[in-house]
Amino acid sequence: MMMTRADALVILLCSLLVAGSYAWLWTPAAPATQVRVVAGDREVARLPLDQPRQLEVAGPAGITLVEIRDGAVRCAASPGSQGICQQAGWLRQAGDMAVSLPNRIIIEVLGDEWVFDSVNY
Amino acid sequence: MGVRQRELLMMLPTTREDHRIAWLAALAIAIHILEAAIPSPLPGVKPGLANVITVLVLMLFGWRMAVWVTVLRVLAGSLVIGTFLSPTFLLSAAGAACSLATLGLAHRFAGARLSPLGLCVLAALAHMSGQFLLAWWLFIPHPALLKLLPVLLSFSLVFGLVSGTIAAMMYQQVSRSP
Amino acid sequence: MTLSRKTRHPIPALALLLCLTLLLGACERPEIHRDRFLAFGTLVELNIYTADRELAARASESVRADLDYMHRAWHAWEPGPMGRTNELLATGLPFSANPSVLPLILDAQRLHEASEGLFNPAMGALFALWGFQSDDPRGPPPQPEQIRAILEQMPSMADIEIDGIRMRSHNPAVRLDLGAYAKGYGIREAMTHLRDMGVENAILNAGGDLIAIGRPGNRPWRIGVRNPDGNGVLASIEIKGDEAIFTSGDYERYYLHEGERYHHILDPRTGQPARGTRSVTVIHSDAAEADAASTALFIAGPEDWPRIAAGLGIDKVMLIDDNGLAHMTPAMERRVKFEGSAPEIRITPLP
Repeated sequence: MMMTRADALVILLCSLLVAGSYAWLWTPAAPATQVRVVAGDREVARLPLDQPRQLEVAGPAGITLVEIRDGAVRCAASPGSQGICQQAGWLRQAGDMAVSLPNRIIIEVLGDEWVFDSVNY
Repeated sequence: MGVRQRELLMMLPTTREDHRIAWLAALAIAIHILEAAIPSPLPGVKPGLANVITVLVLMLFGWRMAVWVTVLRVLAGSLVIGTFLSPTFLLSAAGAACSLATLGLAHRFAGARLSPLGLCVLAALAHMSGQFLLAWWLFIPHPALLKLLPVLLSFSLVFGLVSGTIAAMMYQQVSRSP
Repeated sequence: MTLSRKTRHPIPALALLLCLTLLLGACERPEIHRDRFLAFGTLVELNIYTADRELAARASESVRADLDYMHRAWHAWEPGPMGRTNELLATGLPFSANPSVLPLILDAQRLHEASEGLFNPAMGALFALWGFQSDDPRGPPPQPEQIRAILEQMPSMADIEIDGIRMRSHNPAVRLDLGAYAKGYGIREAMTHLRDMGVENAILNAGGDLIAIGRPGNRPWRIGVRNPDGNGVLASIEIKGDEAIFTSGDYERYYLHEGERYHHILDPRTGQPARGTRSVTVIHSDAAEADAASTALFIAGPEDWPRIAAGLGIDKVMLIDDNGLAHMTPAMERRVKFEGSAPEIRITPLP
């Protein structure tokens, strides 16, 4: 029985390949972070955060402008008189959100890695 | 079948090489059929001892012969088992094609530096990858099937080592008594 | 090594492979299913810990429908059972109360008394005068004489006489706005419904106030308490069983007028937004009582809150006053873990 050096190399590379296939296929894929826009009772958009985009969403009080840029999303304009939706600023972490109650619109960054299950305020 | 094949061969003018191919193919087919009868714990997992023949033929008679033997094995084997042109046959053919291509490249570039052991490991992994890709592409493009691939590759690595060891021992025997 | 067993029947082999494939893909472990929607005039978030995706979806629908229904029934300023009750109370004549509002009014009377009148949903007219009943409240604040006019009539929960299902008001100024109680009552009822549907572990959060049941696996629920100063998290609280956390804060609903901030928690004694407090957080077993208590304790302020809390039977309270000082009961202090820089703390046992 003899094993050549090339054999050893082939076996080593193949073992690495198999190990790599576990690492590659058995670790849950991290999909691009998404942002969900809800108007009233309806989800109107689900967009990846890594693609710049502007979206106008109509609600009962007018138009809310959703802007996606540089991996973050914000409520760029909304009809509420106090700008609460805009004050939420750029959202990028899972769970971040901006809400316009007058226009019944929710903009939220989706994801599982939350520090808290729920936030009291 | 064996008898009929011999009759067929006797009717045609045949070369020494033809006979060699036929005998080796017959041996490969026998292994192929035997393995089909072994119950497998997981679909897709089989020892793949027919690879031993392919690799030995490659080492002793070159790639062209190995292709012939393998083609005959896959065709005749499937005819005997009754899976000709069925999905099983297609998977088997895809695996064999992938395995032959890899063996051809490996043998050409590494030459004698690779013993039957290394060649068998390569052949086993290539065979599995080939038929997996076809299964994925033709039958079940379900993401969960991908989770099965590492397991299948692990088995083929182990069985490649086993068949490679057998092939290496046989090669030593054969080359000692030329 | 081949992918399928070379049997006469390749179909079973492929079928087996498919099953295995699906098994690997569909082996569902319990996880937190999170849904957010607008209901009860606020942002509602439902977290359900279950392996049953279908149950989670049904639960979401159930909560949405329940809250919508209760919101319509109890909205003080829209036509509906509560709106009609207000019209009938204003007549001063006896009437048969709508069964959907009766338990709330009975509870509110009890809590009004227990809170020494600080929780006073009979002052709906004052709330409307300030404009806080609107989804998008804006100034200007009312004139002092308008406020005085309402205060002089002294509408109180005690003015409502209830006998069985018969009800009448002895004060025409009584106008019920159960905003500070109905949400707690509503999420308690919605959660009870979820439990009846088979949901064992869940958090229902409506506009920052939440009720939790069970726990997600073998860890407790982790709740962040938002800092009244801004968006950060002030503290965390762990919940291991059935409990509710309610906060009343001056940042929840307010408007600015000529540089002055006017928030929605009105002191029934002055008719003005209550002063001295930034937020009150209450942990209690009953969501509805926690809701009313957080409002009453906010109005009570940094001096009087321990007495009012004792009267209401609430033992876990944290009050952040205007100076950022955190007043806490000993029971609350054991539950709160401050995140980052802790504020100055004063532990006050209840009398």
